[in-house]
Amino acid sequence: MVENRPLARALTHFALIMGVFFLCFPVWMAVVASTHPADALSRAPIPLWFGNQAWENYSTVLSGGIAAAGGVPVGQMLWNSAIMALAVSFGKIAISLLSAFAVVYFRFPLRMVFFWMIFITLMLPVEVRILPTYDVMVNLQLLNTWGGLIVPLVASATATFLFRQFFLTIPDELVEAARIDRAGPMRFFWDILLPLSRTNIAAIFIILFIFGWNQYLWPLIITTDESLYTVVMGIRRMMNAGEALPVWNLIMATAVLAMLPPVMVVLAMQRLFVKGLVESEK
Amino acid sequence: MAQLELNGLGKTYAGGVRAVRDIHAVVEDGEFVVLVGPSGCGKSTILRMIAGLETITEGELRIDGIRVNETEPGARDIAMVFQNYALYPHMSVRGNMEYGLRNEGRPRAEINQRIDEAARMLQLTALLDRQPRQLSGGQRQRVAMGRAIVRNPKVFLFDEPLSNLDAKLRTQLRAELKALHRKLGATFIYVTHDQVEAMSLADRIAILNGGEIQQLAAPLDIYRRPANRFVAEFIGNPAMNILEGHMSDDGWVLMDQGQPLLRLPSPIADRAGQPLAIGIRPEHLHPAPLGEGQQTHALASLQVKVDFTEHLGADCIVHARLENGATVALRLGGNARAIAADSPLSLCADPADLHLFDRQSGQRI
Repeated sequence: MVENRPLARALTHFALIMGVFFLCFPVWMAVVASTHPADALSRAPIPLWFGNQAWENYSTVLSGGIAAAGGVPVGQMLWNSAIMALAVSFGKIAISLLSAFAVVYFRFPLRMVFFWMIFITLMLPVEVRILPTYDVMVNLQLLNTWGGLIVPLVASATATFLFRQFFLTIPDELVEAARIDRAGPMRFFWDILLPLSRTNIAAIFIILFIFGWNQYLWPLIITTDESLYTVVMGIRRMMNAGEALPVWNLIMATAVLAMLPPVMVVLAMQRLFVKGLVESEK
Repeated sequence: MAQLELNGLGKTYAGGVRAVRDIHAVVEDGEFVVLVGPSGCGKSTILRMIAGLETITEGELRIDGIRVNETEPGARDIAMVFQNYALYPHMSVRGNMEYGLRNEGRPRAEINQRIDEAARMLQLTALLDRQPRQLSGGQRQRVAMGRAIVRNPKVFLFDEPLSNLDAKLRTQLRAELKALHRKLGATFIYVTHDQVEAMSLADRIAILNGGEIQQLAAPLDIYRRPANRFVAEFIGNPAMNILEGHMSDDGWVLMDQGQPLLRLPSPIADRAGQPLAIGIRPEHLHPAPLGEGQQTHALASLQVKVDFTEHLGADCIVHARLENGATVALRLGGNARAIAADSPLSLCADPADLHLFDRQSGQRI
């Protein structure tokens, strides 16, 4: 492949271009569809180039919402999604940092038992424990609240495990130097461990934000109040428009809007993430 | 500035391994003591027990007469320089140096003044705003020392601080370290496996093996009067030649399997017929003068066959073999001519330069 043979080169390029095409075509279609009037999308040749309805579509979606889909404005749903995704990712990072800190740096009875208990929950998919979790939420009267939406998603075995692995690579001498420098455990955590974990936190934040943003099943179960709807739920509800035809132009506009925040997070954090990979300071 | 007292210090790990036993020593105020020994001898464990990073399972540690066994490392008023420097990678040089002082809650002005002073002493002033990863190994080591100095501790602890540096830098920093000790007048405890560092830096050396102190004395005393075979062979390069055998019944000759190894100018009467090990330093062996018989009657003599010669510039080391296969090395001046392999050679040594060791216990006689 590295050799310079024209035919091989052409084939490679063709394969790669096809890959990019298959990956980008649905996104392109969504963007294009969101700029046409509704009836243009129900007719035979689906438009492949932009229409002239972009402004109308996006402003309808952002302000008014769609009557058939409960009429919740997308702006509010985006806001709800953002709150939920941010709260879930910050909560997860805070809790898993602290639990990894406890497991790595403190010798307490049953330490490894606790670690394995955390580790084993990695193997349980969310769906398996969704009914008991729902039951607990009902008993705590957290249905239709931010608490009910966020708290059950906050514990994360994966992030705990990743932070544990990272803490284990930090040389013991650093801990010892800090002890001699009169830093107590929390000061060590705050002054040394946290800054050193910066790039790991960024990487995990990207993953967790997208995980939180794309939550579908849990918000669907826990919320019936429209003011708590998230955008991913909203898109799904728009498509169940009952008797009427789905308004594809508005659905696609919503989908494009729903895509933007995760893309922005990835673009913003990527630099920090790559920087963390390139410069090895330890 | 402090006196350090180790009363029967010992360490047994949870698995039952006894790494260090029964260490008795008093380190005087302002003294530079080097702990030296092969790897696994317990020297680092002792240092870490003094630092408080390792719990003390037996005995007692006193700093200035106060028992500190249970005191946290930060409260013992010690500072430590680690082998891998252990600089905080995300803090500048200044940040590294002031971290301990900030945790003590010192006023800003005092912190700055102490950092300026230490930076000037170590020529770090221009580097104060750099990050550790922008520094060379030698500079990092200076920062690690600076971090210790600004705390103005009672005792400085060094854990093989120079072993990650190249040979030239090590020599340079060794000199700086010695000068620093003189300037600060503080108590230094220094762990190394390098005997040159031990000999050149220490006021007193503690030689460790198997978790026990073999000898604690001034460098030249250790070199001239090693307490046992381990010390004799550990200090000195090339190592001291040890000839093992039995004394003949009249006490004049050291024999092995019926072969004479070493003839003495006067008999060792009280060891006649008994096993004995005799040590001779390479520089105390000389080729016998040609006209044998005149002056040599006052010298111990032995016969060897030359294996090969190493010319090191200032020195010339001749490796040779005794009748029983034991090897000996002798150090000649840099001008010595190479001696052909397999040629026989008569060697002699002043009886005052012989070290006698018990063959069972290895103790000096």
